[in-house]
Amino acid sequence: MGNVFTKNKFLPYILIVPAFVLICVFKLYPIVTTLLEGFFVKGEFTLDTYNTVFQDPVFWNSLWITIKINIVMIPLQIVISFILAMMVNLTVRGIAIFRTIFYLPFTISLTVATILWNMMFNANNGILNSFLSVFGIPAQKFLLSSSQALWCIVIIASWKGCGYWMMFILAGLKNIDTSIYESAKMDGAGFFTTVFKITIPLIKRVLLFVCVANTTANVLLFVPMQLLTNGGPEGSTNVLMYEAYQSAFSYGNRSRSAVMVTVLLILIILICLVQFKFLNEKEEGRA
Amino acid sequence: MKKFLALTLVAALAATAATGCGKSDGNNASGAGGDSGEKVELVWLSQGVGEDAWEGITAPILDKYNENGKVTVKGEFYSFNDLFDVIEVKIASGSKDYDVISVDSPMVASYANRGMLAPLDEYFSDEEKAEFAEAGLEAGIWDGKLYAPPENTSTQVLWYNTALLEEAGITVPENDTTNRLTWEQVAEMATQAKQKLDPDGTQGIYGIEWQQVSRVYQMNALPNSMGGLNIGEDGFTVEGVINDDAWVKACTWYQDLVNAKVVPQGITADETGDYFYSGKIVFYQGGTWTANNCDAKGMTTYAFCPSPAFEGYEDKVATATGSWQFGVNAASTHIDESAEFVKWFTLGEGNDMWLEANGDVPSRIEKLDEIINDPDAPGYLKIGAEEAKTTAFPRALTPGFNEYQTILGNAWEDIRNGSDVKTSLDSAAKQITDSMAQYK
Amino acid sequence: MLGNYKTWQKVIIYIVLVLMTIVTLFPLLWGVACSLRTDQEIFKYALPFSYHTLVPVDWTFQSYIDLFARFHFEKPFLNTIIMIIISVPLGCLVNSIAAFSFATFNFRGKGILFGLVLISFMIPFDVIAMPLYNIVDGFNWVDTWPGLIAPTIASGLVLFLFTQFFKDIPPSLIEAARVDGAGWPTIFVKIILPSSIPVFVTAGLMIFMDQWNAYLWPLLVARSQDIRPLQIALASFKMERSTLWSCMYAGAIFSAIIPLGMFLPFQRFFVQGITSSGIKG
Repeated sequence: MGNVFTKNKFLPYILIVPAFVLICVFKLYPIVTTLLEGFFVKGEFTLDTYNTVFQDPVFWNSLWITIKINIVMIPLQIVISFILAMMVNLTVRGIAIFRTIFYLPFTISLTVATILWNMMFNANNGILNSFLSVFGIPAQKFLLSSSQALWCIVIIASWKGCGYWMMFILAGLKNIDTSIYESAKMDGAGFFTTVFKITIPLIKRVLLFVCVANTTANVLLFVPMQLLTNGGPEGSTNVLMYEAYQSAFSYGNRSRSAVMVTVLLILIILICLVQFKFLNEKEEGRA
Repeated sequence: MKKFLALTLVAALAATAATGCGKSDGNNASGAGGDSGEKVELVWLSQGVGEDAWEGITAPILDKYNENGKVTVKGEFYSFNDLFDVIEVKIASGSKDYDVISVDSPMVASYANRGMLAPLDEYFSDEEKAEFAEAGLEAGIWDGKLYAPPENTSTQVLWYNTALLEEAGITVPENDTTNRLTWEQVAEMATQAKQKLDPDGTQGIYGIEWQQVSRVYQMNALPNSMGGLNIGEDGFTVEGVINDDAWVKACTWYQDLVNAKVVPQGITADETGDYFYSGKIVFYQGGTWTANNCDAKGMTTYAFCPSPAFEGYEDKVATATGSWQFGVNAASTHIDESAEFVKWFTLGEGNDMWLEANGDVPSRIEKLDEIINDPDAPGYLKIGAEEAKTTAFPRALTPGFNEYQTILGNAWEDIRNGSDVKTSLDSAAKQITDSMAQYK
Repeated sequence: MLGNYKTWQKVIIYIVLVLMTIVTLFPLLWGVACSLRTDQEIFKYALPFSYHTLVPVDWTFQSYIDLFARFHFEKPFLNTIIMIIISVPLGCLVNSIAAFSFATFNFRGKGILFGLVLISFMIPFDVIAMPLYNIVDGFNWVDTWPGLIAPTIASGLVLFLFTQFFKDIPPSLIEAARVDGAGWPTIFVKIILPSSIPVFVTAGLMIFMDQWNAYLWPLLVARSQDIRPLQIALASFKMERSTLWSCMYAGAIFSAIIPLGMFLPFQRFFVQGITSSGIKG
């Protein structure tokens, strides 16, 4: 679409000015200041911090863990959220109650949520081990095991987040005219065909939003690690964002933190570029 | 259409104008803050929100100070965890909004090293410095300068649940600071109690727990009690220090107890106390304040004795120490007045009132002696006072203390979770060494 | 509004829904139980898991009473409400107008500007807190309502959300309205708004939850108790040497009830979205 709607070529800019000025002052300016800190030590330009960080095995370990957890967590959460949204989009009696229930974990404070899950995961006497023993499975160490802790955190984060992302997808689903489904049904399309050929293309803009927002949230996730594992056991949950947070808030080393955040930003942008490519509306015609 | 345009334009203008004005405002503010000799209000940044916490406890003390009317002090309180973040953003960015800061003992070196605190040597004479017990004073010194005198200190005693011990038919032998229990004895009693009270592990009862489990503040006292040091004399060397024989031996002793399920896993330092108060832990190594917490949470069947020694290391007993210090914001425009207040609260009448109200172990020798000689003082406080004078073991004095405590704390946690002791300590030593490079 | 499902389909649907409900609710029920008992009881029955882990022996509402009688929760609660009342409508307005421009018009630099908008939410707030604090301090806005609220109004994420939805509005609708001589405010209010109720509700809830959970920023900016919001008050139960567990749980439960109370009634706007806008498809 061109500017067929208006002859005033300043109008588009005027409309974005309030939001954009606020974003510049309160977001972009602090961001630029922060990222620059990675290049300066005591006021002098230097690449030393980058050098040090890139030679630090802790950094590479954290980067790898960040990639590992997100390769699983991002798709998992999006798929679960999508299924949840499809479920609560059904028109059965009492569905509003279920919608609210699935949204509930998002409203509880993360501190309290992590404490509750910590008790459930307890290696000695927690409920999950009691549950497993019913099936004859030996007690697991969960958060105390360097091979399981990361995945326990995926469970906690997904439990808390999926209901939230569900809400956005649901808003997208509600925007679809039900008559499209009716005609698809008449054409004899099966359930999966309908989902992949009709539903997903119709909500791909919302999906793109959810993907990008979810990616950002998950790559920058660190509070469960901070509260539950401190990055352990044996550094197995020490995601890069936690290391960056520690650098800035515990070690007082803001330039190290800035370097790590820069790497995280690049990582997020790369993932989002892929998502844009797959979900961009320009690629396909409208359904 | 016009209204709409006007609205957005106004919003945009307001935003840009605000940006412009803001900058000049900032300059004005920084220029206007000089010493005026008039009434001065100091702001004290501290922790403990609420009437039952420091906010409430210190209110009458501040009122007393403010009676003079010329220099007044206003407290600004945050929750314990939040205080560190607030300091890290505001004080580190050079904010002039605060004058006096409550500094957790181990943070002194880090803040001082980054120029966030003003040195206070000129305000404290040598005689005055000598009034502090050594460990507390040392904690406030970095690079030979006094940055943060202590408000009070802390020490550990061994608490135990008398009801559980009675049920298990165990009597704790007579002991005192000259004739301590040994950790081996305690471990033996704890193991027996565990076998008696919870043989199949269905009751969730454990033999021993440390109040600040997996934190260096308290756990390091174990290797220290076997002669292990926290850090080399240069304040940087950890290789060959935190992975020497004493450390390996102490950590292995600890891990064996965890493996025997006498010491619990997976409980955080925030939770240990409540497991003790609810009768799930037999022996509990904790601070003198544990008595108050027991009373507040309805636990009545507790007793205490001095920290145990390791067999064969009776002369090496070490107890954790350190608490809160007072620092002055280097960017403050009222450093003189602030130092005056700090002195009043650490050595003067303010400290008397504080110790009276808070009931912690004093960091002033005079007050420690007072407790030791006072027949009416609570027993745990008398033990605490004695330990503060004798066995209090200095923490690692290093500007990289945060890295040190994070990495070593994780090693303690890994050891609790079953990682190989030597490997964990070696890898912690290597990581700490790497991160110290930037401070050299 | 109920759909036509066969009985076996309904049975399966309900079984799946109930299973998911159990997974979702279980930890929360535990939290509720913890808020209704004393601290001693919480830890007495926490491990190993048993009947009394979930069902208190001595029920007490003391922690909920304490929230207000002892810790004066009403004040921070009210502060959070004020934050929300101001930031939800303002945030929706400012971001939706900009999003409308991004979704509707083509203009020079649009790609770059939009890229900047996206980047603005890809950096963790914790890390930019210090320079942001310096800016707000420069405005002399520390410890004021503007300082608390202004930085949160424009949000790249909310703007992005609006843009994605506005792109779905057929250009022909706007074109037709322009031909009819409608001004932009009219188009925004008469065409965009009614066809975008679900997204406005979603964005509103998003801003609502952001403010409801806001922590680090209020912690830094709100120096006096007078303007400190709910989450800061919640954190004060975790003290240096002890934690008031049941109060902490009660606070968390209480602070979850309000957003849920908002979510339940607002859901119908999702459903209404399609019926009221007959402009789709």
